[in-house]
Amino acid sequence: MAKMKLLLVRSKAGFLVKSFAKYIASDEVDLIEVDPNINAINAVVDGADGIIVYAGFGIEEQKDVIVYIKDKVIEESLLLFLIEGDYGIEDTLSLLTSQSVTHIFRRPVDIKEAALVIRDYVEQDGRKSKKTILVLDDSGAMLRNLKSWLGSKYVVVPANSGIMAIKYISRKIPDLVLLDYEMPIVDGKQVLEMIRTETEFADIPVIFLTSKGDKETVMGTMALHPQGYMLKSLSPSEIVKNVDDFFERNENEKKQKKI
Amino acid sequence: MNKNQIPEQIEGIDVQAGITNSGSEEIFLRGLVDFYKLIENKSSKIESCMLEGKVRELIIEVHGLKNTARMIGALELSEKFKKVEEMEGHFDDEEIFESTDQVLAYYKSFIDILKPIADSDNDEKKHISKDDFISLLTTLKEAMDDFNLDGADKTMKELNSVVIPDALVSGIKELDALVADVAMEEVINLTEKLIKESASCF
Repeated sequence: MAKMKLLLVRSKAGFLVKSFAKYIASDEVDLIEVDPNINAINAVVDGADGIIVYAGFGIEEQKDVIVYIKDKVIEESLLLFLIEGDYGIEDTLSLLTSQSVTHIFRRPVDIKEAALVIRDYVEQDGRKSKKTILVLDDSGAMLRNLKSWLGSKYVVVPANSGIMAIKYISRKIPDLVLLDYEMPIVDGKQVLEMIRTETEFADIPVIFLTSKGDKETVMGTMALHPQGYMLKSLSPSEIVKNVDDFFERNENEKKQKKI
Repeated sequence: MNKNQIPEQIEGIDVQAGITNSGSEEIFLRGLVDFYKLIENKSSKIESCMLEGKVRELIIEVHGLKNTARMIGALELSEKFKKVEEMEGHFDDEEIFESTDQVLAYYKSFIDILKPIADSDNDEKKHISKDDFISLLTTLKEAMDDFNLDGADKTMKELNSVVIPDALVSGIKELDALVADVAMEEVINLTEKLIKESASCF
């Protein structure tokens, strides 16, 4: 397998950065240290598989660099790791999107452990990244709760309308769409029709979220091939389990097809 | 009251049910704050539906509030919203509006109930320049456009910590409610409007 190329964006090559670089370099990983400067990053980012941002020493003040990294990560589907430095990480995080960050290492950071975790990610067969779930519901409370419940395992992207959902899908295809069946203006069924009529979106898995009593109506829309439905009255742990089970079934089906 | 503490008892709310339905104390507390922020906004919307005779739109709002109330353990309120929702197709518009009006009065009573938990007006606010203020609004707009809810929340929290020109107070309050509700397009549109208005307010 070809070496994975990772960029380490840091302001200062101090003791911690040098130690980190030492732990992460391996037969499988080619680590390139680079200053937090757009031109410098641009010169080496081609062919990179991921970027590690050591968010210390004022790097969080360089908003244009962070935004550039965010755009690159999304465009090229790169891994992005953040290591919290002396001044916290919240300013850096506010410039990034939840779907762009692969893993955050919060203080106090065990540099050796962080390096091992990152190497684990890159040494898997192919690139390992969190599944992205687009959640579509007109209730802000429901969107926030789903993000909280699912957010530790998955990248959860909220959208409160069909229009916003299509806008997101046009930028990046999610691994799953959780779709509220009953919404004003454009309901879940209409959104699913919109998704299914676009060739490049047609295969996106969709699971309906529905209230009790809507089950019969949802069953009537199975002709649009949603992957199933979940009742909103399920407990948070049941909802997480349903999503976990869906991805597990999906992976097993893919493996079966390869055989 | 320390706004990070959950009271053992909250009038109209089954705290244990709210924590169970939300999944954790932290999510429950956040849910209470967001619920509080939206009471005026949602009540106005429902009242508009009644004045304009829009039953379907009213029922959709009531449906959403039924679920939200259940999530924070406001079970009696949730049940009242559910009864209104079930009236559609079985009662005439006037009867639905009459019932809705009664439920709205109870819903609005949660403003006073939740204010001590949710209101952070006691925190001292700092003064910032017009450019920094516009920068915050721009960051909020971009966060919503990027589907970055965490970034939007953080920026809204910062906006709530600064002194707002009088002319923009109601706009920022509305923005706070819209962010709480994850009303993405509305946030984007309102931030654009507030950015323009900011030019003459500092």
